[in-house]
Amino acid sequence: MKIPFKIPILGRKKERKVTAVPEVKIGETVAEMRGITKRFLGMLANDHVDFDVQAGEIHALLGENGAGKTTLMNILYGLYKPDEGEIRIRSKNVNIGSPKDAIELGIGMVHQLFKQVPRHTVAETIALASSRDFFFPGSKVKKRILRISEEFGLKVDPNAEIWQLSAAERQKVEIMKVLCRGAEILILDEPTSTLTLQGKRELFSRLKEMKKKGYAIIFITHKLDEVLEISDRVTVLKKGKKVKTLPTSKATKRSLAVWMVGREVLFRVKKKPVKKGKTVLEVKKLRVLGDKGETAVMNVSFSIREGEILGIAGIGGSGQRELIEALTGLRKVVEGEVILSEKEMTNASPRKFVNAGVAYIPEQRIEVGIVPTMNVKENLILKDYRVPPFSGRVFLNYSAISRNAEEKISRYNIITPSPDSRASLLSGGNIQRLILARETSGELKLLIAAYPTYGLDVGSIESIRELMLEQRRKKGAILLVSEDLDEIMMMSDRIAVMYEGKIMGIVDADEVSREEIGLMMTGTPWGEIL
Amino acid sequence: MLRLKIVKRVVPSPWLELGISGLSIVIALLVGSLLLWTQGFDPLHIYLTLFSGAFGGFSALAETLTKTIPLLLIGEGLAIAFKARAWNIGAPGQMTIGAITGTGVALFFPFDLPAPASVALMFLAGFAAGGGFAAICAFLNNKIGLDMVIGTLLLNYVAHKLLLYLVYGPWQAPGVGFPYTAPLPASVCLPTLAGTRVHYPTLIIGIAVVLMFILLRRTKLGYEVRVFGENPTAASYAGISSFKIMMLVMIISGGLAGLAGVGEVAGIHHMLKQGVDGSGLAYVSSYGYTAIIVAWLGRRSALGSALAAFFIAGILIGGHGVQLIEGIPYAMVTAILGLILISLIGGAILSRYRIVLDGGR
Repeated sequence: MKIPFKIPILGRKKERKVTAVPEVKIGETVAEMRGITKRFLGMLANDHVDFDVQAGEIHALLGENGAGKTTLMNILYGLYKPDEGEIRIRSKNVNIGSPKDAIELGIGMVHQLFKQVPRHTVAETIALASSRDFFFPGSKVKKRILRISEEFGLKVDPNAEIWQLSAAERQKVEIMKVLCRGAEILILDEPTSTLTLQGKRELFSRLKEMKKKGYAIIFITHKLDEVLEISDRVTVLKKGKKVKTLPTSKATKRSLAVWMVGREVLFRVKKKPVKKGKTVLEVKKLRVLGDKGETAVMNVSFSIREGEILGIAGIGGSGQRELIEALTGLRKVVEGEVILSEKEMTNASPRKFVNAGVAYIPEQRIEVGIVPTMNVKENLILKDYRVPPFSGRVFLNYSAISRNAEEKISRYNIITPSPDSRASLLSGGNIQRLILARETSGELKLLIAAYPTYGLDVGSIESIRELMLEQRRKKGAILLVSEDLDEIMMMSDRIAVMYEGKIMGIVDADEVSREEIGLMMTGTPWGEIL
Repeated sequence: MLRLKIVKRVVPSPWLELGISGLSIVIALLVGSLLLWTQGFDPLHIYLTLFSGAFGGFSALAETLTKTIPLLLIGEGLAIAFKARAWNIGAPGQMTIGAITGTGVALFFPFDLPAPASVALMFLAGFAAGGGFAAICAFLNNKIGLDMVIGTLLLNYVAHKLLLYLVYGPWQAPGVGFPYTAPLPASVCLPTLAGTRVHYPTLIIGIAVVLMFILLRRTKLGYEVRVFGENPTAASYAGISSFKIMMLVMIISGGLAGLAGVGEVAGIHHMLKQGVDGSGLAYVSSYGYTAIIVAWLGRRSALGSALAAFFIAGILIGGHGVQLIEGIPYAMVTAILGLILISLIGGAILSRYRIVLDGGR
């Protein structure tokens, strides 16, 4: 009888021999993915994607955040199982059930945010991943490390401890770890995001050397310059779908930008002109720090008027999150001013912002926007629970809370088993409608919406955009942050583009092309485009 | 290839939770039987003795109820603190401080008050002192990021040493030479139910607290505590101040522990001495630690913790009886209590997951 479970000891295979040069011909397709589809909670992360990589090439995988690049590669690395599609490695159909299977097939992945133990030496770090010796694994792996570092010019002292190393060196360790395990197909997930310019140069020259030796390298990025500089071929993904695969020599920065941000023809909302009123929000020379104390928002100034939607476009991680948090009182402003309806609000508490009429649709809906373990009607009063009619001096008024819930559920079309169901049971679109229902009720001056339609189905997207436009008609000011350029262009009156914490330009939505926005998103200031 | 996978349940059904809890207790008792059997005892007989020692008859019930009082007060306080993720491990210290303060008021208050006013003042002072003692940690947690567990835990030792200093030093009863204070004036000693040690005024306070906490669910404050405990990020966005919530729940839980301390002094011991917090040879640990188990067993709910306090008090009393009658070591009883709790907590975790067979493609 066949044992249906995988028993680790039986499944153990001999250590892969590390060959200096992969035993494949340059140009041979070593990995092939066909029709890969992956859904997360009904959200399409990959939609019938085809992808392949050849020995001796660097294949760039380009796309915005959430385009499905990392998901696709996590499937190849065995972290996720595809819902549909097949994978062929060296022309053989394979079922990659775990990273262990992937490693045995010679696939290695360097994650964007890899984890290392600061107190381990380089040798120990690598041995942990690749050696099966129980005692002193570090000492035995040193020889191998020295050989590989010589061969690829990846110079790292095996005796150094991780905490002593720079980000670039740590990444080298990670690459060596993968090489020591015998990987011939290398996946690098946004490897330059933590590197200095010099570190990037060095990484690129090492990658080129490895390519010549016959390694297949997949390079995930959203930076156009890097694609043009390092890759031989490029595949562009957009919203989980493959847009194109082509030799990099046939691509230009402009064409890549267009494919990456693409054009959405599915549905359009009708935006009627609205007469703009007084200035609601004014931001002056704002500087805000990120989580690690780095400057995340630099010298940002803009203003929004009544009945106006200001869209903030930009690749994810360009400082949008920090900016929004500073404008809702959740993050400290280091320099600059925030003025709301002529009132100084710099570094006011979240409560003050709420009381001043600022509503917030957070990016992390479940983590910030709702209390998943509490029920729908209680979630609907999160902002207003302390005022009548929902509460008196001490007690909550549950009949008013229930009435409010019933009214909101029907008006905003929230689909829930009942007002007493836990909010965590709702689908993404309904959670978003719940948040919108709560945030847009009552007196509202400014609505800050972060990625409000991200990951939602078409119907929800439409209804949520419609709700935002209704706020605009009601003379509300709206700050819309989105990575979806279609959404930004369709919804906004004016568009500000952020890149690395700075604003590249603020332009009227009617007077700018998506190409131009794409260029600003990748670091070209508006002044240089004209 | 098939693999076993552990998957999180979306919502555990209440029936499932109840079933698992029941099963957990049965499993613990079975494992406990094994333990008893290896020591040459008849498990069934021991369990029956334990049960009747705790709940069989008037005097057994009265003793169980006496033990329930401090566990109930402290357990309720901890339940609300844990609900707000304020990890208060300092109830023994807070209880001790409450006992010290209550005694101080009884012995040294300079003005003559009518007896009921004195008693009320003792309880108020005990609440304030226990609450204030606990608030130190909440304050430092907010200002300098002091870890709540470490802070509250270490303050237990401070309170304990203070107690020792007082009963060996300035407050020691003159001319006796034993480490305790002079007896409290009879007028402030709490009345008990006839023929028992049940100091019912404290019990009434405890029941009032339970009722208040049941009502708390429908108040603004209760809502804030729940939102904060379930999702601090959402709470901060909604403008709920973490400082306010932490201070408040710590003052409440420390204050209730303080009340329990006053109750023990005025209702049971009638003097301040070592062991007023329930620690001593006969019991696992002080009420303050046992109440942590009460709060968790009661799933951090007001009613649940009240029932858990009664249940655990019963096991403690029944265990005491078994020790006396059957001559089994008390350690055996605490071991069985431990088994019950481990399997209940383990079961609670299991009820949130299910095991599925994952058929590979």
